Amino acid sequence: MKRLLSILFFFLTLPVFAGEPAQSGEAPKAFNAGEVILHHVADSHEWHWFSTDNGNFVSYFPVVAYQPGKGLSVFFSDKIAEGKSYKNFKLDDERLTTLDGSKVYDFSITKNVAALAMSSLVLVLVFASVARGYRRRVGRAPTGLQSFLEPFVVFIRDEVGKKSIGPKYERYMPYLLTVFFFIWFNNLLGLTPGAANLTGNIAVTMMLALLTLVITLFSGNKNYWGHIFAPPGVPWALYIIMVPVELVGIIVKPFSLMVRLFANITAGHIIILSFISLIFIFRSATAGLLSVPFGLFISVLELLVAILQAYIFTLLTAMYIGSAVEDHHETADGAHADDFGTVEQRQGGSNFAHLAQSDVAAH
Amino acid sequence: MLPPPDPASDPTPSGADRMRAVAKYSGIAFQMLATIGLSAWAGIWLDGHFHTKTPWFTIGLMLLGVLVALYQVIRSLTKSA
Amino acid sequence: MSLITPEFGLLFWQTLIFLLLFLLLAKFAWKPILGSLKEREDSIESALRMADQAKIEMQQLKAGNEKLLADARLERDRMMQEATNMANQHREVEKARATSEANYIVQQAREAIQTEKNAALAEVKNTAAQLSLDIAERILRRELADPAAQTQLVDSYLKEVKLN
Repeated sequence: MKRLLSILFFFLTLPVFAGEPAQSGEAPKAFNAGEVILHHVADSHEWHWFSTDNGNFVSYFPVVAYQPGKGLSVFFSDKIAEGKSYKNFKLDDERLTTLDGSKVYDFSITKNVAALAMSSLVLVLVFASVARGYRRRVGRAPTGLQSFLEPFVVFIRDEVGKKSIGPKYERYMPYLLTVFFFIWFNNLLGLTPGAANLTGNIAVTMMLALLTLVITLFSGNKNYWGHIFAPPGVPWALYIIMVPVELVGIIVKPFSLMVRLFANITAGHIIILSFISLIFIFRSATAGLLSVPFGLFISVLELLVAILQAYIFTLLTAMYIGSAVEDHHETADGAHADDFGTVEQRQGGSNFAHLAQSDVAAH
Repeated sequence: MLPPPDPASDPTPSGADRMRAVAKYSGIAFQMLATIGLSAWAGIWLDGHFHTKTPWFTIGLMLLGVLVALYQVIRSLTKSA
Repeated sequence: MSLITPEFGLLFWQTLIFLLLFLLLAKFAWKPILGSLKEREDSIESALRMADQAKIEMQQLKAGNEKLLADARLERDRMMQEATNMANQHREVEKARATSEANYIVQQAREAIQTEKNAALAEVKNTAAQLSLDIAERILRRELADPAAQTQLVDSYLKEVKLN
């Protein structure tokens, strides 16, 4: 419930940030927190590292534009930076448009694409080295990076894969592990100053959710589809209601995955940036006395949220796959899910509330 | 309380199981939100598409979304998977 | 709104790069890592199982030894018991035999005594008869001379004869 409220809170507060630029437009030099925050959270065609009085330190990326009938155009984004236009192209609030209004598909290497490529490279290097460690020290205790990451791999395998999917878990482990470490690493990288907000981008979470959906649908066995197109214990006449409801459920599950990851990570970034912005809004260093500790606190919390969201995404993915491959009701997940009800009753929701608290604070 | 169906599993909840429960139930909450949100979005789009004077599609689909969300919550809580 | 509208370009790159990442990691990371983990766990498990088995075998061996010992002890007790029984039985038999032998000897002695006694009595009877005959003879001889003397003689003889 707390999470739900916090999410609602987030959605209610978002328009405030978004609406701010319109109201405070009269002073051109005035600090515009909403614009700055949105600019930091959103994708862009350049990598703006930092600005000093002498100028901006910016990396420009190749713009790849495809126009139907005209083909590809590739050029660096400095040509269209800061309101400039190049050939037929210009940037309208970070969206590539054409001067004559014709259709253009933007395949540019944006900040997020660059961050994605780099983080993927980091992931491959890290886990290749970990895998090398296993090959080199066969059957012996892990060391270094390997010993740090092994518990996570084992956790995802045992607590997420085995418990949610059941005996067929092994086939899905590569996907679950990739998703977990991809989200976790990118959440953490997103927290570093100047980095891209990759996992807080709806296109990224959408792709991950779609992949989960595709894997779930392709894993679906007879039992799974039977529950959707011929729900057991339901009379024929109700099929016309039940089948669309079940189909909506299929779409909604990955949709909620997409929104959750996006909202959590973006909200965390917005909150940290808001605290930092307070200093500039009040134009006083004393505001820093309040906003820096708060910003630091939220940042530390975001470190926790980074792994928590990665875990939740992976777990729910595993649960959806588990429901698609389960044979009957007596799967491992079903058994454990029954435990949860009792666990929660026993705990009186205290631990639950404690864990939820961190999410509330994170929003 | 039901007896644990898996005799091998530890009856005392571990940290991992608690985290699992948190994730699971928050997942249900998010799913509810997503269902209502999606149906509302669909309703608004349909109303815009057909230029309806009264937003019947929005109202109807939102109500339907609430019902479907409730159904999903009840089902996922009772059926557990 | 740009925040919640997925960019087509990013979606394209994300799909491409993520799938590439997935394939690379699956081939070069997850396969060896999961394989090694499984191998290590299997080896640990098999080692544990072997240790358990060794423990069980040890216990079985110990139990076997104890059973052997107990059996030996039982056997010894049984043999002792048997020996005692046999000795007892033997003693009984011997005792019985000795008793019967003794009885036999006594019986024989008794019979011999009886025989001797009978013989002695017979001799006594013979002697008595002889004496009676002698007496009778002398009486008869004296009767011929003097009856008074005869009586005297008889008396004197009777005094002589001491039947004992």
